[in-house]
Amino acid sequence: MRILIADDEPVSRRMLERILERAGYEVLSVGDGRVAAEQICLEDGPRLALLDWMMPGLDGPCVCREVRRRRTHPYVHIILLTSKAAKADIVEGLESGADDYLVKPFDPEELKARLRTGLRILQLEDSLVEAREGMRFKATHDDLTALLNRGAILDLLSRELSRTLRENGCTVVMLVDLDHFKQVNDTYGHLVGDEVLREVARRLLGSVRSYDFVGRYGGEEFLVVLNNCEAERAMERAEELRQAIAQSPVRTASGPIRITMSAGVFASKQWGAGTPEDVVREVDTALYRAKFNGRNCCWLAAPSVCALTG
Amino acid sequence: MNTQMNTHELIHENGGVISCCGSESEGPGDTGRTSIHVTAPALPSRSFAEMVNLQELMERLDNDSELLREIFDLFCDEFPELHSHLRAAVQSGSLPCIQSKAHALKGMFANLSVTHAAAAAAEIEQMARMGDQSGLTVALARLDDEVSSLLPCVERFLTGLER
Repeated sequence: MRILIADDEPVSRRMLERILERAGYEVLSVGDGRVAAEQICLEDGPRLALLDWMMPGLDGPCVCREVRRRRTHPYVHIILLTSKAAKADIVEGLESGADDYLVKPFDPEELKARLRTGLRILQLEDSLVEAREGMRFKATHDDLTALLNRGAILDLLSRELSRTLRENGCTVVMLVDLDHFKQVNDTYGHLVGDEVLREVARRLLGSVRSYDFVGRYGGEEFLVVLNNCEAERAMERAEELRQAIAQSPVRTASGPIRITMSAGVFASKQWGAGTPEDVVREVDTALYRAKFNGRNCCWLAAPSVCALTG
Repeated sequence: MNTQMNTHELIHENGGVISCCGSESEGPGDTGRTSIHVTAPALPSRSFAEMVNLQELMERLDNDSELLREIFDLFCDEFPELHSHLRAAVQSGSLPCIQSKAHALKGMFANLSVTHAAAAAAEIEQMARMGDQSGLTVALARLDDEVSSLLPCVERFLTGLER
């Protein structure tokens, strides 16, 4: 574990360096509070810091405040190590954002024990963050395909439509439905159907740009949101996706299965403002037209009668 | 190599003559302890042991004699300048500067277990914080008295460690 020591007094700094190196820490030491704050706030900055109070640049409490303001994650455990021993100083130090307070001259065993306490707190924080991220992923992603789930893709669609309107750009939305997917499930079973859905998800994701979004909208329906995509290219992009699905059979435990898709396509620039619900309604209608026209094709939603307004 | 010595075994102080004794490396199982014999003439004013609580310091340093030498070397480099800055600050009457320099000296002395000098520096720091200019000269003289024989004593001690 890396630790930053900030102390302008060379004797104290050297003692700390040596003691902590011997305790197995990777030590970075500085003699200036401003430099300390910069180092801690780096993206891969140390997560343990031992700060003197009185230093050139910034004093210890100012470093604490700066770090708390600028670096919220991952958490940095800060110990103030100072010869200021008055109750008021301790309170001020802790209020500034320090996690612990030690008075000089320090006892090495106590210092090491307090650092171990800090490490335990950091490990606890890491495991909580990991659990939170895991839950966040589960709440926003589809278990089977690991694509964004319906709620998450609709949220993104709403955000993209607003941004597009602000920037006078164009967002292309596609509702993709696998043709005759029920037959796959009925013929080969749901496990094979799941294999097909996973492979389709993989192909769709592999066919869009890194900043586009693909979500599982329903059973065998997928919603694709293409940012900053010219309306004139909407059908071309949809065709690319269709070919990515149709070009080769999906390999499954029951052998290769040929799959095709139909898509309703919507280009926001041609419609003006609209809510996500409006967009989904229009793209669903276009999908229905694609199905009606023989499947394995894409259909562009055209604002022939009434454009969406907002 | 990291050199460790047990202060209980190795360091004695006999009437101003510092005698650090121990065993030489003794083959397998040797923990890196150093045999140190320092014989210095008795100092006219105060001895090293009167000024430095060596046992406490060695405990703080995890009995690392190499580090002990290193930090006293650092002290010899840093102290004169810091001391003269404090004197200049007292002469100029700059209270924030006095407070800052006295604080730095206090911390340095405390880390080195130079306890009386640390207390004298703390007194100056406190006076400066309280804006008490009247007693500063006397307090500085008290600090000067505490440290007057410190540097020669430390240098003598370091010379002893090198032998």
